[in-house]
Amino acid sequence: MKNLLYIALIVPIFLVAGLNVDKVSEALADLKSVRSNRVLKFFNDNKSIKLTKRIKFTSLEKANIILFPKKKIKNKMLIVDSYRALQNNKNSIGAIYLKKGRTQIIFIEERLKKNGLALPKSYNKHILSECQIDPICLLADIN
Amino acid sequence: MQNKLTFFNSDRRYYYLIFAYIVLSFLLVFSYKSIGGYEERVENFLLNRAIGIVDDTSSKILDQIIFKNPNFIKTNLQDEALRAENEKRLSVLSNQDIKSIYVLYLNRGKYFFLFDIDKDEHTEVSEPFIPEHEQFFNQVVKEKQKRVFVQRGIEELSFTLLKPIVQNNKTVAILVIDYTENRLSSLLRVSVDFLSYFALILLFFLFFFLVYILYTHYNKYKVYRNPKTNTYNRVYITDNYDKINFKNYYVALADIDFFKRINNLYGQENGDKIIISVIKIMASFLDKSDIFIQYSGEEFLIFFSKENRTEEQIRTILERIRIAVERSTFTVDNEKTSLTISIGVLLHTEIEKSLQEVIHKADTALYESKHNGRNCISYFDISQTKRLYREKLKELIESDKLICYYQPIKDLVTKELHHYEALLRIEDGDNIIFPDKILPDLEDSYLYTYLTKRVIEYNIKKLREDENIKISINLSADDLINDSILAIFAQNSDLADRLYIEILENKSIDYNKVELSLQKLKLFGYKICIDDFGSGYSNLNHLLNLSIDYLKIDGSIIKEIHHDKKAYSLVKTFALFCQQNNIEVIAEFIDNQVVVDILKGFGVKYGQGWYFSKAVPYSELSKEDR
Repeated sequence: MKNLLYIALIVPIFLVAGLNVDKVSEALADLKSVRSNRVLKFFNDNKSIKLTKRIKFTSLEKANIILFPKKKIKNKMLIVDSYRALQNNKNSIGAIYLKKGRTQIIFIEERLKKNGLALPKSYNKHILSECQIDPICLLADIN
Repeated sequence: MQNKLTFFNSDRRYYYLIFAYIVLSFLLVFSYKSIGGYEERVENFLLNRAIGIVDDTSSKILDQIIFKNPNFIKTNLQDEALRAENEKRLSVLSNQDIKSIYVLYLNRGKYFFLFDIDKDEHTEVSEPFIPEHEQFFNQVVKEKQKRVFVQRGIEELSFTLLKPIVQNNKTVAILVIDYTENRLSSLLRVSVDFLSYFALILLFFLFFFLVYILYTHYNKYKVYRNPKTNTYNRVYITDNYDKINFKNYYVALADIDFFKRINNLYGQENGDKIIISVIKIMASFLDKSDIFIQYSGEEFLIFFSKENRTEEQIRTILERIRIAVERSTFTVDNEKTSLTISIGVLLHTEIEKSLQEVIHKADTALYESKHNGRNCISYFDISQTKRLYREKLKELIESDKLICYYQPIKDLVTKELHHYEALLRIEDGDNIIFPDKILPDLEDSYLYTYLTKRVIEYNIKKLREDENIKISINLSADDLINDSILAIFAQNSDLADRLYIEILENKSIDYNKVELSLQKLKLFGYKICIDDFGSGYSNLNHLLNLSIDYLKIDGSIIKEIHHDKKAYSLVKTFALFCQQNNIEVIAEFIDNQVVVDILKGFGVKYGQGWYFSKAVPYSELSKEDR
């Protein structure tokens, strides 16, 4: 049990350790609300990741988007730290994690729209559809 | 001004340097701009070498994976067992240099995992993957060609190999192999930078080196140039004695006649103006490949290129120069004056040994012009016939046309053969050239020593072929003090009892110099004979000091012996002197029995001449004699 707890604490750190912080910060800063006058505020639940000040941070309560949540949070948009979490948690609008040494920044198109969020066109390669994160749907999409 | 051209054209290196400078400058700018491209090319070259075996093996594995499977993506997505089998196949590629091996398939322009060999960080099938350097992935998809590139900014990765998996002429997936950071990849990265920057630094170095050369060249130009007349000065010639290939030029030395009077009359400043005017006239007759040097104030050294110019043409040009100067009028302080020039020329520079000698001979010819009343041209030249003859002799000697004829030297009492005298001949077709037509023309040339050596070697060969023969050969006093000739005698001292050395006495001999050489030859066992005694600077005292064995009385005395009292008594005295000092006497030019009888009466032991035999080739020597 002790080992499992240890793994549960350490693994997420490893998953995001080595992230390209500048790239992540830039992507988050470029995330805009389509609703006028709404400024997106973030809460970073993983203090080991030092993001830049271009992003507006606030408390957990006041934040619109929670980054790398360590526990279950309701009624907040989430950006999670693994692909599995992105698949499983419908509140997550995106995921940021490391894969094969590369920083992965993924947003789900339908979830962004639902929350009134948008990214510039240059982020198209980072935006996937719900179907593309569902293996069965993806298989059906392949001829 | 023509002489300006003359200066530059005579030194073409200057043009080449400027051309190289321009080319290098362009190359430098171009290289600096495109260093990124070079880096990429070098990088690709090194990377392709690094992936080597993995590249080949992976191609074979991929062939197996997609073998006869028209829709291998879908099949593998659906069949977990097949996927595991294919991942196992791909795992063969793993080695310590490889960090990850995985296959990505494409869906709507995005990449998803199909296989992942990594057990520690295994990725589920269909998980999306957003690559860094996406442009390389897209390029591989589009061009269906493998690509390898260096990873920058990703920790623990050095470079990545991308291989397209093509079905129905369409890239459906990409095999990705990430290489770990290791010594090889670090070296590779450093190598790329090193090679690129080394090339650039080298170019910079070359550029500055060239600038340095140009700068020093320009400084030399300033030193070599007379700023008033814009021509080379004397410093140029003294600095470049060894560099000017004078054999390619006819050389003329010209001098303005009575120039001191002009300087005294009109002052040095006006004198300089006149010199410039004269230079302009002379330069107008010069070709671009000629060299014009202001040798001293009013003296000019001109190198006329031999290229496309005959001697006659140069004679005409020089005469035109002389006439042009003579006919020109020079205005100084509203006064008109005229002047003339004298010219000395050396045409046959090709036979000269040094530039100093060339200038000296042109100067001698100039002196002759001055001596002949000025305003004329004199040519220093050995006659054409003599020059051609010398060249012909040189050719014949070098092509081994040298032979020896042999004249017997006999005992005057018994008429028995004592030895043969070897006499030089050169075969010229059916004609035979005699020594009096050979030696005087070669005396000052290197060919003389060459010729002597060839004669010695020729006779040494004969002595070794025929053990019954004895031969005497003629050497000059100069030959005796030549170490290489003495060395030949030293090496063949076993023949000393059959090889006699005759020293020609027709020139003054420095006995002090030859004494040591003669002592050496005597030590080797050679017999020494003084030849032509009585013809030149004969000194009886030296004969005793040199301990010679034979004395050959000059033929011009012998042939007069029977009708000239002076000759008679001279020979009688020589013979008596030799008898008293144990020196054998040989008489030459004997052409009748009367002479033989007189000589016998004097006690002369040996003789040679037509009375006994003419000189004949070795093949015609009588067998009885031998």
